[in-house]
Amino acid sequence: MKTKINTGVKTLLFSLGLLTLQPSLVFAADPVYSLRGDVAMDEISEMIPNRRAMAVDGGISVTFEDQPPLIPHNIDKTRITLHENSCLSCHSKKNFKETNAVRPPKSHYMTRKDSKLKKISTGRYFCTQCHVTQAYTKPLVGNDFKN
Amino acid sequence: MTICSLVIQTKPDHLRAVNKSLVNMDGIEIHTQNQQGKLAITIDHPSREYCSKAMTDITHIDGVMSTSLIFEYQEDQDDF
Amino acid sequence: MKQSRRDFIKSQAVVAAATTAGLSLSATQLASAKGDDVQEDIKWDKIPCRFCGTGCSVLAGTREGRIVATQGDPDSDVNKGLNCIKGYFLSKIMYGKDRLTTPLLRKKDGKYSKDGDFEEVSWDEAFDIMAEKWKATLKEKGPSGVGMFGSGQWAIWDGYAASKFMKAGLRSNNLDPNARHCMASAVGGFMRAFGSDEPMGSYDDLEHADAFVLWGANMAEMHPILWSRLVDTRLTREGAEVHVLSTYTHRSFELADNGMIFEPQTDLIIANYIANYIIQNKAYDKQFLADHVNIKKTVTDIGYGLRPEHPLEKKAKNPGKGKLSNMSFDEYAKAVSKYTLEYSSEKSKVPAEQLERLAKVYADPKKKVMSLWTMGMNQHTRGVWMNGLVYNIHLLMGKIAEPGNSPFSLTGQPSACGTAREVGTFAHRLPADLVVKKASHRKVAEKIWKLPEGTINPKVGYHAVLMQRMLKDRKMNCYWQQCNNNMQAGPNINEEMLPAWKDPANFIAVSDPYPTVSAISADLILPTAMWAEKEGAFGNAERRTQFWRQQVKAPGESKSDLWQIMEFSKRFTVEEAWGEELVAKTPEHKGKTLYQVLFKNGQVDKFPYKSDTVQDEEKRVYQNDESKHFGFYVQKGLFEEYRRFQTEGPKPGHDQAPFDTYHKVRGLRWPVVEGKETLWRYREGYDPFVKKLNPKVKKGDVYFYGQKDGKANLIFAPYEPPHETPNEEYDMWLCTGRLLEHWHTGTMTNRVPELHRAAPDALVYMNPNDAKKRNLRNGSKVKIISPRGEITTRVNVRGRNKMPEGMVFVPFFDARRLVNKLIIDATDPLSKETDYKKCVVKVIKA
Repeated sequence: MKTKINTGVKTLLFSLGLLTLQPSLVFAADPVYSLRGDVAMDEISEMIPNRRAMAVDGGISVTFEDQPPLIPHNIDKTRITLHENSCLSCHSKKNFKETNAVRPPKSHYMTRKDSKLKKISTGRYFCTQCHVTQAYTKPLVGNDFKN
Repeated sequence: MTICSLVIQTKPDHLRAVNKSLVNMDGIEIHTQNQQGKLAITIDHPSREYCSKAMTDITHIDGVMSTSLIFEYQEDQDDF
Repeated sequence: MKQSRRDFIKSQAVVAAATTAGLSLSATQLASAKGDDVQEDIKWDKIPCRFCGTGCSVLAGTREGRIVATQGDPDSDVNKGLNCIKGYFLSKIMYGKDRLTTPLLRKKDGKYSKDGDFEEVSWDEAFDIMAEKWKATLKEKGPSGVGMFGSGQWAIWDGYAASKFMKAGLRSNNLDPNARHCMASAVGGFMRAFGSDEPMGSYDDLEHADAFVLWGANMAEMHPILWSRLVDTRLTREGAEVHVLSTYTHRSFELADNGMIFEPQTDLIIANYIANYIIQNKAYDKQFLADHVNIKKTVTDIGYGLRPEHPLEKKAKNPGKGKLSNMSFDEYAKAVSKYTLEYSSEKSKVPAEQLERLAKVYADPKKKVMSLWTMGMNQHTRGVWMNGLVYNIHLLMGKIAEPGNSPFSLTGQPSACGTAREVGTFAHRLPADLVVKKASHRKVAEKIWKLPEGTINPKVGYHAVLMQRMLKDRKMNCYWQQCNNNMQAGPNINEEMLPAWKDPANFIAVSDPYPTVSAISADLILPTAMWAEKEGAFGNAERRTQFWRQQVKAPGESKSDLWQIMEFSKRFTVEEAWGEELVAKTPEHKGKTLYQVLFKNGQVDKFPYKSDTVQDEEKRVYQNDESKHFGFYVQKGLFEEYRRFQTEGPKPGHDQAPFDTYHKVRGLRWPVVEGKETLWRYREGYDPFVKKLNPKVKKGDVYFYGQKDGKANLIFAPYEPPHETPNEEYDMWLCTGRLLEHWHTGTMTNRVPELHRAAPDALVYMNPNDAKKRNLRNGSKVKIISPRGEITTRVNVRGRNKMPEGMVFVPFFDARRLVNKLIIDATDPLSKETDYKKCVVKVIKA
């Protein structure tokens, strides 16, 4: 059996349509690459592009039940401090309808001891502990997770 | 191979024209749409480069207001 | 109708797009996206999170032999159903497409060769060559020629088996965990002050304290669930306040009532200033000091843990020395009197009124204070001192070992406490706080392990950084790394680790589920089962031991660390490992393998295993691949033997519950006596050992039974300058650490697409003025150069970490930007823990 080791480089070869190169690779052992790809340990990796956060109208769909939804917009200007939480200026129970934003689920209005709250639970005050933006970039390696 | 899906928002009165341009592109399938000018499409192509180029091309079609990448899947050829 | 996988993926893509846009789909479109017609129900079972030291419990959902979902465990006291972003995505960490599935050996022309390429080999061939190399080295150099580097991510029995294999089997103390890089200074602090490792308090302090002080911990990102408990208290308890100390502004400052940026290393000054303030204002608890505290001072000018020939080590008067001597209270008061408010503010650059506000919180007898710290204090060339200085403040005020008054050292790894520290997988330790250099301690271990007297080597082994130096100097030739990625985490790899591993004289084996930079730099890669693929146990930062059952099978030929250690031990006879002289002392061992002596010894193998042995309360059966392979309940046998160290050893107060108990509960905090856990150690009424060891103790009083006289040590240590400071050429400080979305070197989190996209690259966080001076803007390409190496990346001047002028931060999760190339291998001379928080660099336009 041949090891299946996925690497950035291999993916690149395929995506460039250089499939004809395949046969010549058969004789060599399949190289093992880390997330550095084919950049040797003592070399310097290629420069990364400047990234932008994904902007997806209507949200990014979740991949399994109970996954916290990803943030489908830029949050560079968002501020969460002791004195303000600008996420809630759109997403709170009070404002979500007007702003057409996602409303936090019931679980966010419960204390640690399961009693109901009017305002969002203070234990969930820092939204970015669970909700993150996504940059436009492809995964470093694929993931076989199946729901 | 790469499979991705996109949501396209067109100006509602351009919907038919956009449909026409899309069916002429390689690897593109239109799955569902509504009268407000929203479409869900997939791009299925061996080359990732093609897919990203197609996405850019779509944004340049007359009447397209926005495109959003929703789903992206990539896999080695020999798995299929 | 059978659909191809391509159709299935495409239909999922369609559903995702349509759902997002609110478009309708036909019934067939929806059905095909569901895939298989028959779906088993998801089976849920508890399992502790694989990431940080918080020890959240999650529920893992399995179906058809795969983890398909994870969610916060509502029955867990630690997290009450909450998770952080990493915890929510645990379901994906095992499914990166580049999982290693067979052993890989560097070969040329069909034989092992250092400059060969990796080829698939069988486990037999892998262990044959490894054993050949290890035996040759043992013969030539003795036990000090081989070494193993493990982890605070090892399950408890992985670490226990490794300790037994190295210390009893090969008689080598060259066993160290990567916890050396993160917790060693905390251990040093505990042992010197209290004579027993690990915190006296528990997470319950988070709901009891009036004030929280973060000394070099960014809990908002690194311990999000504990942070959410702290936030809850801050926002709901009247008068609660949060003080944050750091060398730069990070997310925890968002909640700070008093956020303080100090000049690196001057935390030593700040802590002494607070002690001075308490004394000057006569706020200290005289009775507590008289009854429970000894005042000591530590030897000074102790160097920086560099190679002995380094000028700084030659210059130091007492390199590596930690001797304590007595000091009177007046002498101590005089020693700290130098640390006035003016002096401390000037040196630390923290405004005087902010420092005073902090001191007042500690000095107020009515305010309950919880001090929290992690790597800012531990990864420090004076880390042990600094840990001690914070204990000093709590001891002066008697604010310790009771609800809400709690100096609390947090941990970074899921079992830094449970495995690395409690099992004692350090080069100087044995299980349950015992140490190799004490004959009485070795004797206990030899008795429990049924070894001839004199088996355990009294010489302290090589610690993490020293191992690399010894490999480079060819004093050690064989090295086995499990469950961590030292090539990306260890310091100064350009000068030490990389040349050491490349040297043909050395044979390097790395066990890992994924091809890390360590794995690809090794000679032999052993594919490893991870997390839910084995039965396991972790111990978190509040002394909570948590177990889990094996949920799924590991892919291909991959095997757990435990399996690997036990199988490898079959390759050695006692004669080869111990020498004839020792074997002669116990003739019954003659001709046996280490496996027979250490594991199949009538003790570890006494619990039988059948295919339905592991069941939960609902009688659902779980697999256990190690027990099936070896023919007995391996984990239970090891744990029950380990427990004997807790009850039969000379160090009291480590008792844990029987093995089976832990499979039923959401963890228990040791010492566990008669099924009851301990929330606050050393205090009568909470800790049963207090009364047992000191029958005359007053109700509710403390007794620090880890020390012979029951008194804790308050240890004075002065400010001493850092190992290097920015100069004309290298004009900036560099600090490295983690980000919320990634865990350590990112072996797992980089392979979860959502986490990767959330933080794809290690950027350099920089002050806008520093950027401007160098003609840089947000997003500019730069080179970061230290005297030891260079990396490239882009600038971030407005991200989550806001740097003061003169300091930059680069996280270490990104294999493409190995920031550890820049880090100096300076360590705390006492704990041997590397200082990852300060070294010099320059940043130039790329």
